[in-house]
Amino acid sequence: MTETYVELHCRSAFSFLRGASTPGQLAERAAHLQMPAVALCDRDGVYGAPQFFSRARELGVRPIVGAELTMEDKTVLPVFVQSRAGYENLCQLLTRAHLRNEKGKCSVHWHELPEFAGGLVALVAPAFQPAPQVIEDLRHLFGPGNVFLEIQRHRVRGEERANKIRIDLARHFGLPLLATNGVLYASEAERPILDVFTCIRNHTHLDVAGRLLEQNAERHLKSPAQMCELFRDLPDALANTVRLAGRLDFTLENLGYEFPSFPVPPGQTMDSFLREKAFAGAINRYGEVPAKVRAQLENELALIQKLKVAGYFLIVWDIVEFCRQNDIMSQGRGSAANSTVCFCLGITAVDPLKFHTLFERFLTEGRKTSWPDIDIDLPSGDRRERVIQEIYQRYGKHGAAMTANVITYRGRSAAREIGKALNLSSDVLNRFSNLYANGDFPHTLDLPAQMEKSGLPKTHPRAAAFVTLCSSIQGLPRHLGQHSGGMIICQGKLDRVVPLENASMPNRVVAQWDKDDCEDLGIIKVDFLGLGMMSVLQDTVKLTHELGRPVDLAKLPPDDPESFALMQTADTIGLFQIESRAQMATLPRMKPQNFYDLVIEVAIIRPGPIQGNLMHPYLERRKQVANGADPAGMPCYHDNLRPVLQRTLGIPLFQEQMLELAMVMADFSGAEAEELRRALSFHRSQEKMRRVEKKLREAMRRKGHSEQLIDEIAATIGSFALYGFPESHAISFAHLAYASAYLKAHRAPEFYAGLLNNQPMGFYSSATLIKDGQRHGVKFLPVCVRQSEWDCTIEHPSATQPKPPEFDVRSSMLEVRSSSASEDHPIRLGLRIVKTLSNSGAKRLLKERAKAPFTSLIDFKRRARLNKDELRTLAEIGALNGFAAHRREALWEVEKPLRQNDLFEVESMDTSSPLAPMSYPERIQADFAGMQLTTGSHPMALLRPRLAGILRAADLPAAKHGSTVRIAGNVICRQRPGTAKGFVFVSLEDETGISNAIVTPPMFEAHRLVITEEPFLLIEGRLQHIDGVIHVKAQRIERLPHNPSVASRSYDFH
Amino acid sequence: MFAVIFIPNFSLQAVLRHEPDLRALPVALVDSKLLKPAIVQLTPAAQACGVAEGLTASQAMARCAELIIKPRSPAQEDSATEVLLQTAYAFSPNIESTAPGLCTMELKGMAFDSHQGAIEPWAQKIIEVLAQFHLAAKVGLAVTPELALLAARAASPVMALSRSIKKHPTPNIQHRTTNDSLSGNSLDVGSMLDVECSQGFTGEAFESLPIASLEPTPEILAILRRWGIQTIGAFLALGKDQVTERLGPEAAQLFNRVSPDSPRPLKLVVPAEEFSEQMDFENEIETVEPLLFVLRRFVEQLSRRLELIYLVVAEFQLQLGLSSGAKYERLFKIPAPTGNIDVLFRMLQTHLETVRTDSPITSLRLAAKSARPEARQFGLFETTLRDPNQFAETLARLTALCGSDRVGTPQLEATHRPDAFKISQAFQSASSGDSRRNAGLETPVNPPTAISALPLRRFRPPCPSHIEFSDETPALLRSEVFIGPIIATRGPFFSYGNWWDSGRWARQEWDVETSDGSLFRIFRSFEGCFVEGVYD
Repeated sequence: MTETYVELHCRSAFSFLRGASTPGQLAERAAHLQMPAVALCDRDGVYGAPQFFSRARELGVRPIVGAELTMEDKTVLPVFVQSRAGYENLCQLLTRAHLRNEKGKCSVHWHELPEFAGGLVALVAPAFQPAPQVIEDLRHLFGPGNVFLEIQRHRVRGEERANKIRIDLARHFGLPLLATNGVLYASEAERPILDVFTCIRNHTHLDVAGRLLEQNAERHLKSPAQMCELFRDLPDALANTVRLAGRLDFTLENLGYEFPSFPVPPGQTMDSFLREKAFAGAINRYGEVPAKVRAQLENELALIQKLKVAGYFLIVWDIVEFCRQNDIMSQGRGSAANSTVCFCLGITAVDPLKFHTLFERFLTEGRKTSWPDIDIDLPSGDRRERVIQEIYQRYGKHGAAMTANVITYRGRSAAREIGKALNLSSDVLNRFSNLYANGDFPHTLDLPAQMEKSGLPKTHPRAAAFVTLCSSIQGLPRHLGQHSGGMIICQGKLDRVVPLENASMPNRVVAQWDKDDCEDLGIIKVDFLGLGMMSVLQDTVKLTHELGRPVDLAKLPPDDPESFALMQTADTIGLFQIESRAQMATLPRMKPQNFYDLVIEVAIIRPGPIQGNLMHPYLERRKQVANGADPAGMPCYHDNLRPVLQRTLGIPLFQEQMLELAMVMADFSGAEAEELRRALSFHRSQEKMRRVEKKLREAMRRKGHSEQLIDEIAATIGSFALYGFPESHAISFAHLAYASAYLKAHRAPEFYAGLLNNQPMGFYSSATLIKDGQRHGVKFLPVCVRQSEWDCTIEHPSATQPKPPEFDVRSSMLEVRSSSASEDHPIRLGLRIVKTLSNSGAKRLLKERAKAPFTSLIDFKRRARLNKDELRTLAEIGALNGFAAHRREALWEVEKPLRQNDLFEVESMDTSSPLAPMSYPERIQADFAGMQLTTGSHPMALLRPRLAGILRAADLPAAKHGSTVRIAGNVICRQRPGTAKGFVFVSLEDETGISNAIVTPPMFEAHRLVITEEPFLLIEGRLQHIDGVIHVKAQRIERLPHNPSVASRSYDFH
Repeated sequence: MFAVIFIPNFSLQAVLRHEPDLRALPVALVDSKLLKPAIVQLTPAAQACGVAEGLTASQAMARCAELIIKPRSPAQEDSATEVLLQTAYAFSPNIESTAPGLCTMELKGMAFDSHQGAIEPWAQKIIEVLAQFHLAAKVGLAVTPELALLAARAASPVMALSRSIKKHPTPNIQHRTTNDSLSGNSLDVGSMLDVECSQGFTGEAFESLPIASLEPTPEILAILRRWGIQTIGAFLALGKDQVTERLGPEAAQLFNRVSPDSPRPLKLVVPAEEFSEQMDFENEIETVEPLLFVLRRFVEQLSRRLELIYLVVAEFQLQLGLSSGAKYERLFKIPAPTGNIDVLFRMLQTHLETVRTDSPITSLRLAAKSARPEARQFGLFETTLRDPNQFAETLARLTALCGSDRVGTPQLEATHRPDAFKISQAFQSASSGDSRRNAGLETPVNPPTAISALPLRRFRPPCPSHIEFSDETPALLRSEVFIGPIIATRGPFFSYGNWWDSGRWARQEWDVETSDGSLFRIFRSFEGCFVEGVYD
């Protein structure tokens, strides 16, 4: 077929509110229209280019790269890339234009164009009506034949007059005309989305947007025939599109990305240096290197050399070394981290030979576009930031960047923005936000029903548009964020590969592509993920050293019975990965007895295995094995799979097993397995998964497997697209989980102090952690300005002051589990716990105290120079009790003004405060007001005398299965997992622990507001006590009248 | 001597004034202007369900599913304030608008100033009058405005403090503390004050008034609460010097408020002469019946208020707020000023039954101008109709006949829809609302007309026609203005809009040359095909 027209001016939704279709939709539409090539010109970036490239290439459409540049005078200049040099120029130009501006803004200076015009073709767009001199300048800048005058026709009355002027202009200057449709959406159906985006961008609504909106729906991708009909009087303008497209032969395949090489000593190559370091590390790890290890190292090094990725391993090793030198704990994960090389280099703590997670099986030549993957877990917070800033320092601001995280329109936020654009009343939208503040619950109520409950009847004239838009806007880009830890590196020239821009965080640069796009284009990323638990572990270990009872995490005793006892009884509050309600509900059934059990426990409570219905069969088989069944005799999909699935009793639980399963059952090659792995990782792409699944089914059919078996295997693999866990990740996480369990079991004071010093993190608030600690016999001392540091610290027994009477914890209400050893090391709460105390105020306080102890409240006030609010809070929580008889006396005194100039002021207080001491409940209330926690009794303990007939959490194990019970407490967790078919799980905390309730979907809908809004609940229901897991199936739910200001923070609907 | 009229839960009472039936139900008032919108006032029934001030609407509904949530209405508060002041003015010429729901009156020179026995019936009368306006009030009387206010707060419903307060020099306060503080119960204090009051009022009742009654600043109130000071008695017992040293002169002011020695001068006001009632509807009103129901109440209230000061209605100004943001306004001059509720209401009713608004009604305001009830002579040059009611009825019938969209002034709309305009109602005042959220929008108010060399003579309305198409191109035109083949076309030009609701429109437009050499503009829409005009 003769090419007659190529669309060269399309904007996608990656122009952020200036286009309404995804790059994929544009590519699909172009393919449908049999267009040979299409150019994507998003505003101020190439954000959508990778997705456009990959989808267009799949569909046989040639993707052309371009961008619309916002110039300093706000005119817009579209440019196309015709060569790699041009692409590099475009990236550099965009980087410069972005980095000089705050996030989200871009302006190219006219005077910058000469430097970067090479390899680019410019288009004078209809909205740009340049002066003759500007046209001359552009032609001079971009070169003859590289500037086109764009002409568009959208069937709008009056546009021909403007076109006539442009045609005359083109003739006058001898510029070629270029017909385009200025595409803003793939098909006419998407015009409403663009109108809504226009409203959002202009902060207005459809009723008054008037002429800001599109006049018609003509700016969709039109077929060559349609365009030829439109421009039949201007055949040159059409022919030029084909001619120009022919010249624009650059694609992203030709990015020229090279991972930076690692500087090695003279006489060494990167391969030889890696070998040297790996074997040196092996000696450190094993002493004498066993033959098996040596052989494995040789194998891996040979493969690394063959794939030319030694530099990558060395750079990661170097970063890990930096962490080690700077006392920053780190741990490697990822597909390449399953290697003995990584273990020997100290990147990972997992010996792959122990767990048979050998990496060369998947690191094959099939991975042409995808590099090995190593993620590095770091302690969250400042320590992780230090590592990231070190990378920027080493590779330059233009050499390293965080990968982007494209925030898309989802659920409630999309509904709210559309509602505003449709000018729905703010009452309806507020009610909608309030009612469904905790997420979307399609299980029981669809969107029209949710809106009806919010006050928008289904018969409302705009209800239909609202619902349609909500569904069509889902997944479209909203704005660009930064990925939590993914970094890409390219020694000093990353800005030639991808445009960079400022992140909203200071000193952070972010690339315009997300990690999947980078991976697609063969750009190596390293994930620096911040884990709160890494900080906790590091801080805890430091405290154990300070207390003279050090723990070395690398040398923890394996299979420590006390640690596993905690897990088996679901006593896991504060433990990494296994503290959630779902984990706690599985642990007593799983009863992990060794490390690999823990690995499975970590992996099994994931949406993948749960949705794939793998969890219950696994637990059932485990029970059978415990009762004497032969593990080797467990059913398996196929006998050939026994070696793959035996360690998980015939149930595939890990991503690696899925890949092996495909290799064994469908003869997938390394490259195909890699394709499957990537499809499994692309949670969002149903399409990708469908394609791989089709391939898998066909391959299994060819091998003669039965349809039933094919269906079973396909369904199992399909479920893994929903967040299945690779085994190597599970092992790494299990390491952290085990370490945290060990520390909780053996170094409880240090561990709780570590947890408190790293809040917020995990599932539980500080208040709950303290109560859990107290149940384990850990003693918590209140904040005291004479004793407390910024962090929570462990006090030496001799340093502990006799506790003031008001903090006498009603220990009779607590079941103290642990030994008195913990009591010997009480935790002094740190100043960081105090809500209103500023960082600077606390620093000043500590600095002054270091010079000399405070002698009186007056001395304290004078030297610490805290503001009134800070003083009041400290007095209110009892932190000034060292200077006063009680909290109110301190409150009375802090209000007394200081006479700054009176050198002879007597430093003693008038002790005749007329205020009465706080009652015990008042003190609890004051603690929550100032710290959101208390070291005193649980608020429920004070209510207990009035709660006759209501069981405490600690009473539930003794209650009869099936009996009707009543429980009550402070709601600390509300969850409605996507895998739970609309069931809601509510955790109530009382003075003895946590009780869990299950709420059916109808009951939830009937009591939605009570459940989601009330901080204290009373629940009556049937007790379920199965395999040590206790739940109350709610039959009646009501509010428990209690002072809401003493409630802990609840962890809801995450 | 001073009297204070205190309307507890004033904002809520203002909102419920025209829906008195709701008072017995659980109703909560939400102030949406707060940073975090929360309940600010509530009925006892709501309180009994566990609803409390400070909760969000969702939290409150969690506790009481039947709870009726009402938004705070500044407009209705203004009306209620007018009622309060005008009522007070009917009893004393020296009144102060102290705060929303609070009116202070100076009683100096009044007959009962020297005759204590008459004072309570007088105060009771005020309460009765306000009750006619659906406002439940309490009255306190004392030698200073502040003491009168405190008396009013403690009254049930009238309290007179006949002599000054004496303070006991109590060095310390013994709080009775209980576990109940966690349930939000206040603390009691011992008897501190000795006050002689009417109606068995005791010192304990006075001293146990909440400390908030003294209206300290929020900061001082927070400190006092931290100190555990809940009542006026506990506060006074701390000692003025000690407290002033710590909390500054603002705290000293609090002590002065309960001192009988220094009455502050009142900031006297004269109530506005305009009388108005207004209401923001929670649900948009689309039919006239509910509107008339409320309007009848308004007429009754306004008539009564005027009657209180021996006046009648001379003029009504009716204002309807529409959901589109626009306002409908109408002035009714009463030819023979009257207080007759039926006559006044019928006039409004006749008009409203013919009114059609383009969007539902969200608020109603009725303002009355007063006049003395005597007969009035028309001015020589006054063009006012002799019977405005009759004229209004004539106009209303005209509107009913032609449709509300055909009587009034056309105004162009800012949209791509050609010739889109709306009719502003006849006699509408110039203050019709512009609901644009963003005044800075760069949208031209008037659509630009495509510049054409040829003038187009428009047919108004467009001429219905039958057009035959060949390959989506007009080929034959049959209409009043021409019947025959089309020999040349330019177009089509497309436009469509308002896809988001029932106002959806679409249009395809062509310029055509017919066989007789005429040039027409024709278009096709959902309604059919039309000739829009002819090019000269």
